[in-house]
Amino acid sequence: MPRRAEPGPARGRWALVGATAALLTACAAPPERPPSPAQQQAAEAPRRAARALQRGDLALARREYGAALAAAQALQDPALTGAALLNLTAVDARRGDLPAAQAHVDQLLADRSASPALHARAAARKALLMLDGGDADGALHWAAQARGLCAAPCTLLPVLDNVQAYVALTRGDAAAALAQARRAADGAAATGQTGEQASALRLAGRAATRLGDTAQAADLLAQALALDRQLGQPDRVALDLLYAAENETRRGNHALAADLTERAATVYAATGDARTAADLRARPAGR
Amino acid sequence: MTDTPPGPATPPPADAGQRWLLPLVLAGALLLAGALAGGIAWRRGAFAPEAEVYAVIDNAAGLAPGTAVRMSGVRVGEVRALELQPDLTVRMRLRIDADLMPRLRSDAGGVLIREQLRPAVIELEPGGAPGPLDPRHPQIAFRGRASLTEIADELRGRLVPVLDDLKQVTGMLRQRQGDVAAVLGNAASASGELAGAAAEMRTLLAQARSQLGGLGGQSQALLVQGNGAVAKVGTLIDQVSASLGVVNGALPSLIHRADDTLAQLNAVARDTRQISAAAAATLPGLLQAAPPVVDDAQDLLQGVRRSWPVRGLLPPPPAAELPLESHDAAVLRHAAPR
Repeated sequence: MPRRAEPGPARGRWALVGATAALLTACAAPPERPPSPAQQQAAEAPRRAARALQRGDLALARREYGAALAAAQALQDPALTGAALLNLTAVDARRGDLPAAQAHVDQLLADRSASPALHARAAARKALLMLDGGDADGALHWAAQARGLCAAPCTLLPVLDNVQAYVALTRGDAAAALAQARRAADGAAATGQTGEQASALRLAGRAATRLGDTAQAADLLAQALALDRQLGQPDRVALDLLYAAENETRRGNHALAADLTERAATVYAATGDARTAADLRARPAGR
Repeated sequence: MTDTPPGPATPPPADAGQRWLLPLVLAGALLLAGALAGGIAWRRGAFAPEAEVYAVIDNAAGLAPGTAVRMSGVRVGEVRALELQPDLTVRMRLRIDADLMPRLRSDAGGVLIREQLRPAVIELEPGGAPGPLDPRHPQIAFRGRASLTEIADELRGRLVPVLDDLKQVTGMLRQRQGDVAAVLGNAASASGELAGAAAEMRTLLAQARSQLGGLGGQSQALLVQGNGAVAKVGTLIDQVSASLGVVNGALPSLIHRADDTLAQLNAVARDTRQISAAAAATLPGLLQAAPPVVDDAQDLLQGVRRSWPVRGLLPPPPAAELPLESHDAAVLRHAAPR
């Protein structure tokens, strides 16, 4: 009769041998696991998107921020997800796709797990979208929401003040617009937000022109121009020149106004916006 | 005759071998572990005769017991202890091979070399004084050497004003105002400074190459990419410099040509603006994204992060969120209709 193998003790010994070998292998300190594809995507896609944005390639920037959002959601990282949604909002708004931009920011605002700081930034973006949609009341509502959510020291205040100033200006309350824009300029200067400071000064200059205080307007617009030149922002420089031309027209300095308009047209042409440049040059002198 | 009762079954010979297998494997493993530990200890000089020197330093940031001490690039010891003194200085004790003691002169010193891609090390300099180091008070001098980070920061501090000058030049051209001589002067000055900066970037590149030469093969390949990116910065600066040369050459003729002055001026302004904008967009990103210059090449950074020997030394990239400005609103970005 064939002898049956005894499974118990022999197999146990082999298991012990295996465990010992495994223990020794574990002591060899294997290299760390490389980052997952999602982690790599979350790190690299925003960089690629930022480069595309610098080149003005909005379509590619949108695709890359979309990839960053997908990766952030796969990683279940709320901060990364929030940043990707806000970036997508900004890019879609710049492309003129306001419904898509609204959808992104609404998604973030509906996320109760997002931090108050993230909600504050989302509300501020929403206010800017409302401005572009022509909904002044909505813009003021979301600006107030952002103000309430933003913890001190709140760096969003100059942006929110500028939103309020713009609404006041469009509603014909130039005095309120001037006061609000001046507050925004002071706040931006105190927090080192030079671009926002220049925007506030530009708004204040426009408000002063509407009020008939053309001397103050010229001074404010010159300050905005100086800041924008420092920043090297041609589109903003062109706006400063254009509003300065408008102010000079109001003062009756038609020659100076024409010169400023021509300078604005030159800048627009230099930035590749030939149509605006042509429109400006086609305007009758003194207008 | 009676039948012999069956006795207990005799175990086969194979079972006897297996009984000894486990102790043999365990003993072998212990021997192997002991040999490994001994080898490591020997490599670290545990069995070599030791001597001790010390230095008094103001700040021990970046140093720790175990930090390597090298001489001529060869490891000769390590930091043994860091002791805070009553006057808040730090006494750093270095263990070195005893054979080296006679070679240290009374002006021997140590230099801390701290680069982001490698752990900090102390390079021991034997000194050249006639007298030997006093074995009863073996104190050596100590100093830190500027890291690539510090060099890059300094360079960035010098480049940013130059870029600002470029923007100013562009703005003055665009406005057709200001003293043309001053424009030319600024352009020439900026051009000269940029040429100097380009030379320094190349020096820095060479330095980075040599300092990072010790990394492994994979990292080497990645560093070559990084060096290429740094070289690109140098090329870019050269381009800006050359463009300013165009400005210098073109402006005087523009002044004398009344018919198409504006058109040409626009072309020059556009050219300068585009190049300076490219420089402004590229340089700060390259120099500010990460502390050391070699890390600023983003592809290098990504590659190095995947390379396990140095991955842990690099910080994770920050979450990039576009800045929020009211200018983002199209109604504030475009000119209001009049």
